[in-house]
Amino acid sequence: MDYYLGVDIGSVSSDFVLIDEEHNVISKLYLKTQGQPIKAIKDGLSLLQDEMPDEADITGVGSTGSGRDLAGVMVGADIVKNEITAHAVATLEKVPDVSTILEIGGQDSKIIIIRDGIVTDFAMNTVCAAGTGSFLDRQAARLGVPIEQFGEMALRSTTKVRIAGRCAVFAESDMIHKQQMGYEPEDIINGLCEALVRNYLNNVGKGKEILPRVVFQGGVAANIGIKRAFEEALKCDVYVPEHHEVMGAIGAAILAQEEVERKGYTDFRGFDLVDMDFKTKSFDCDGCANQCEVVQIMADKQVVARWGDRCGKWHNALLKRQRRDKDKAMA
Amino acid sequence: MKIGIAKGLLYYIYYSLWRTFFEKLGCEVIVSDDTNKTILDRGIKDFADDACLPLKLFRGHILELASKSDAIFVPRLVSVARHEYICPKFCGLPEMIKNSIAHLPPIIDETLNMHKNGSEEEMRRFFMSVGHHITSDKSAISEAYSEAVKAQRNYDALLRSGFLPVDLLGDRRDKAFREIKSARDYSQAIGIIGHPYVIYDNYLSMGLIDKVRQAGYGVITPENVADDVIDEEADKLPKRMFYTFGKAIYASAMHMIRSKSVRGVVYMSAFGCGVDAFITELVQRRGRRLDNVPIMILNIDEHTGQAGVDTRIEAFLDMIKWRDQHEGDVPAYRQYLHRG
Repeated sequence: MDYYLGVDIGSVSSDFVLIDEEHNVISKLYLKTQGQPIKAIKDGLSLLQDEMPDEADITGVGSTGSGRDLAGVMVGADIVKNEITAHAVATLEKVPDVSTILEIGGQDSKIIIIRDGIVTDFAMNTVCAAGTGSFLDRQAARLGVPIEQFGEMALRSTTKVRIAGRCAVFAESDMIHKQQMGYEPEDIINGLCEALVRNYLNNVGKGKEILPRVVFQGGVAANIGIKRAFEEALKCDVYVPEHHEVMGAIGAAILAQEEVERKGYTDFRGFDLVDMDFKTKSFDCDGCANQCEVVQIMADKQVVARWGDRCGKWHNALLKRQRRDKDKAMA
Repeated sequence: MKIGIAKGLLYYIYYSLWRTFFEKLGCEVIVSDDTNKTILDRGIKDFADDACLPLKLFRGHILELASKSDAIFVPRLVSVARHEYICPKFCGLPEMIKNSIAHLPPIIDETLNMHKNGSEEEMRRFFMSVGHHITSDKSAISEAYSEAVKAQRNYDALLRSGFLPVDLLGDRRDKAFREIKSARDYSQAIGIIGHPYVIYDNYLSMGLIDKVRQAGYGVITPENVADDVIDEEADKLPKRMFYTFGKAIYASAMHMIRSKSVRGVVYMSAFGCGVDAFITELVQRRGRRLDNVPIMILNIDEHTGQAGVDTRIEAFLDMIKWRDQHEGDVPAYRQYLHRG
């Protein structure tokens, strides 16, 4: 059987998905990145290998997410794609009549507008993380409530508490103020969910025409409090797909399949990479006044990727060498 | 005499004018290097932290010129067109520079204010006083001024014909002329709008123009759009727009969208820019009302990482390709750029 692997390395979570040729999800993994993408990628792959059916064969790999370049080098990805495209591809596959995608992840939040099966507009949060998962994570830690219980607690709220959601710092002081007034934790949590939604719609969703069918995905979509707050604000049903937390990875896998069908082979390194020693090293190039920090990815002490040089000197030198080595191996 | 001109702020617009003027007066013009990390870092250090990034960068360029020039040209530009202003930071620019850097060579900081009548006279008066720093020969100054105006007219004409400042300034110039045919070969274009000192600075804009061109799209900017087209679009607003560059950004975006000469518009803005704060809003709202052309706002600041900008550009171009595959109405590049 031919399987395709999608890897989505985000700031908070690392997601892995195996799909078959019909794009059915065979297995999926949702791990915390915890600031160590190399470890997360290795852990993910070895867990995935254990789960794989014996006759399965990985015939293509795609990577996405903010760690997509690193992941692409480590696994030998056939395609490395941005998150917007990956999410849109996956959602269109699973929910063909989608018109609006709301996606909230750890550091990013985005909105994708789709009309007649085509992405027609999108927006991502700019420099502020107030409307993202890490904001909720932080407030959950403050309140001493596990983030997994956030949504259910919000649903139990009986009193409206308005918390300023414009800025994570103001929201925090406003929340403390409301706590000191004696509101129940449920009401405070619900207020936070509404604040996040308000902030998202005012920033990321500003000026966008949000039409049903609205699909809500990303890690935060597991929070039913946020889902309800969206439904109240948008006055329409909000659909959370079955694999909402790994949609980016599904999209990467679908794109990998298309790419492999086009080029006829895969660059997948194989599961052996789990035992390889990957390290990121860097040095400051002193070739010009830019002093670029050149990042090198080492696999078993061999340089396998380089980036960060604005002029491309280091990057291109490596590509040239790799091409030469490949030609030699072919001959 | 060596006159230093910083490669920042309105360099991209007026360099031909300034350089020709000083050279005709027998000066050697020293231009700072292309922006690099060192220039930016030096500019930021010990400077007002609420200044916008292009302003901090300008200071870095001045620091680089300080040891190489006998005098540095930092004009006080209050207004460059009748009944219009430019960003107020330009009024205080010479003071900000002089008071934040020790041991500077003399600064030539004459004032240009064309707000009242916008006449040639004010421009001439400005250059006469600038020239006075170099020589007392009035006829020589006057002659240099006429030559400078001619050079600027040529430069402006090249911009209106589709070249970008980055093609015409520095060592890329010859290459641009060689490639003029291939530039027209782009079947589609992307509008890149923003203040000239943001979009044309390859370091600040993280190579935005090059990236879009490498992806196979032509680039149209506000500087490519004719003045009368800009006035006509701006006149459609209920109130008069009085920021020269804000007006050009807004009006050229509307023109690109209305005339269907671009597949998408990317607006690059420096964080904290007061003019952009409302022009970005205006472009998005009125642009969407005009047509279904995607508009993306990119904000840049000191901490901005390459990855975030690259992700957005890549996704934006993916989207345009996607739309193209499903739409038949692909307009020819530049077909509607100029009025007959």
